[in-house]
Amino acid sequence: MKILIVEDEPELSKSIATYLGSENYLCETASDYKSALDKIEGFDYDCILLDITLPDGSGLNILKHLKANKKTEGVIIISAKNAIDDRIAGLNLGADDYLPKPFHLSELGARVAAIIRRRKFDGNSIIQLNELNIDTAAKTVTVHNKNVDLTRKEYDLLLYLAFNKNKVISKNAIAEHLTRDDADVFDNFDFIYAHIKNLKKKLTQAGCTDYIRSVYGMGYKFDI
Amino acid sequence: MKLLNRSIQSYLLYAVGIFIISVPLFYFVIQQIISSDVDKALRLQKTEIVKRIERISDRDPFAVLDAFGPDIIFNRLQSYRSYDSLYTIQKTDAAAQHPVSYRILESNILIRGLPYKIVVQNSLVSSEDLIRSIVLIMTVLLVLIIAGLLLINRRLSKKLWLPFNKTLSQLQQFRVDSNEPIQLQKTDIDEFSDLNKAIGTLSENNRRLYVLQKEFTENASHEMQTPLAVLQTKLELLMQTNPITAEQAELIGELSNATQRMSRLNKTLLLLTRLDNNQFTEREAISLKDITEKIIHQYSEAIAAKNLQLHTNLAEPVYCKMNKTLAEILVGNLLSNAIRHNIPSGKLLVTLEQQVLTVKNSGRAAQLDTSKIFTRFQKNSSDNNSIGLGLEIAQKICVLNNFTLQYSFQSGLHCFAVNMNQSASPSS
Repeated sequence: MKILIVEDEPELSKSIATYLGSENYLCETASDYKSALDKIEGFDYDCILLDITLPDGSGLNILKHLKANKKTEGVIIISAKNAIDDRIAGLNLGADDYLPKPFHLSELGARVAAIIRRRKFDGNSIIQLNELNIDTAAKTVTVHNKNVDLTRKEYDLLLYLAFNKNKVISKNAIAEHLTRDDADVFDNFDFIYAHIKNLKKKLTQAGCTDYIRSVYGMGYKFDI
Repeated sequence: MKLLNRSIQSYLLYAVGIFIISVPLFYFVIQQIISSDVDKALRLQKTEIVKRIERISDRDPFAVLDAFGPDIIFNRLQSYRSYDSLYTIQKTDAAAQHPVSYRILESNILIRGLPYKIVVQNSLVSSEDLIRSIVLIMTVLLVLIIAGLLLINRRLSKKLWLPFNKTLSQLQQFRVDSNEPIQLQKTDIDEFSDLNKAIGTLSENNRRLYVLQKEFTENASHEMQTPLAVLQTKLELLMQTNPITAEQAELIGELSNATQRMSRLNKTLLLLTRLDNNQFTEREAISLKDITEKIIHQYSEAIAAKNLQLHTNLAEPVYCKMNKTLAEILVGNLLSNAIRHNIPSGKLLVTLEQQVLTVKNSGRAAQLDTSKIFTRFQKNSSDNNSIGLGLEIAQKICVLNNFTLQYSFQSGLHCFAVNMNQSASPSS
């Protein structure tokens, strides 16, 4: 699966490419408007990560170009302009998602995975991880074909871990993912620990291998 | 005291002084002139009488007495006095009811070697009337002049000071964070024109500096986002490396926390500058009840984590016209504040009635410093998650919507009340 990263900050684009590359995505990078346009015209991608502010043009124009040429790439806008106007303009022009900088790579990974799943496997919404089945359409989880009853937060957490499998996910990333911008209401990360504990318990009780590992000092990892 | 009144006061004092001195002075001068006039007339009359008596000296002077009228008295004298005497006496006349002043000339003359006394008198009634009239007219004139001067001065001053007063009221309304430069009226008076020019330059410089500073904050926050993103992503990549010792893992985790705080601080600063720049222009009718319920639901986990006793009374569906994002931020900030600074198993009360949203929470058992509570980076707890901008943002949103946000400490509860009654004065 091919991903185009349009981002003028080389270090950031390198980070994204490294992270997504290890998930078996084929990543290409473009650092300005012109080379991005060239690449879009020359190749088809499954997903495009698009920075709005480029040195020689606006990322929004790339969106317009895609729309005009009836290209069906999934687009995630990654913008430093945390402005609602940009977000609305981007989504109106056909972008699938919007991620303001700075973001967690695990969050980006989850969103890329979600978009590619939606586009590539239309109809098939099942994520199969050995005995664990996650149906992203019905939002249900089964282990050995037996239904596991999860709360919404637990389901979100499992999906987030599964989309970033074999990666260490920081507690901050999980907190932000689960609470959006409200992570600062909590005094500490105890609430994450509680959710992880419950999730692990429910999965192992259903006969699932305990894939969720706590990584000392940093966060959690879905090891499979 | 107004400048206008002060200048008038000086004029008035001067005019009244002149008036007080001039009226009696005038009276005496006129009286003097008239009495010397009367005296001259009396002397003339005497000379005339003497001439006529000499002409008819062949006859007995007393025989012609009648010819001189009642104002002349003629008497025989034993001795002769060579000088005349002039004096004024009061006499009650038969004709006039009240005493009348008479000016009298007493003179001795010799007729055929015999001394006679001749007394010539002249009523002063008409002269006194004249003086009285003159003084009266003079007084009226002076009063008219002073009153007129005052009136003209007042009107002229008001007209002259008009540009100044306009400038002053403009200056009073001027806000350094306003988007419009100050509008000063043109005037052809040099002093005021100079003043306006100076004020215009000063205010414009201040406004520009303020805008520059605002832009700096906004740009700095924006520019910081990319390096922050690099830092955050590199940290995440570092987490994926193998092997990592426990010591390294701990360091990376701590770095990740610090980065997270920095990016949250940055986001909040951006929000503040966007509030300052008035970038939330879209307003819609929103139900504050719905928003409050939504936010409480969002925070239910945090409320449960601290085991807080939540009491809500959202009986009234309060509607107001404002930006929805801002409404959510306002309610969210007040609630997260009440949760974060609460004690475990503490109280949290949220009420919405009569256009007032009240959030009460238990916490530190002392009143917060009301003078500092809404200022930037004012932290009242050692909580590291708190960045000290929440209440300032809440306050800014309230100001933007003409709401009032008030803090009070009642029976052990910290209470924040948003009054959405837009006609309410800040003091009530």
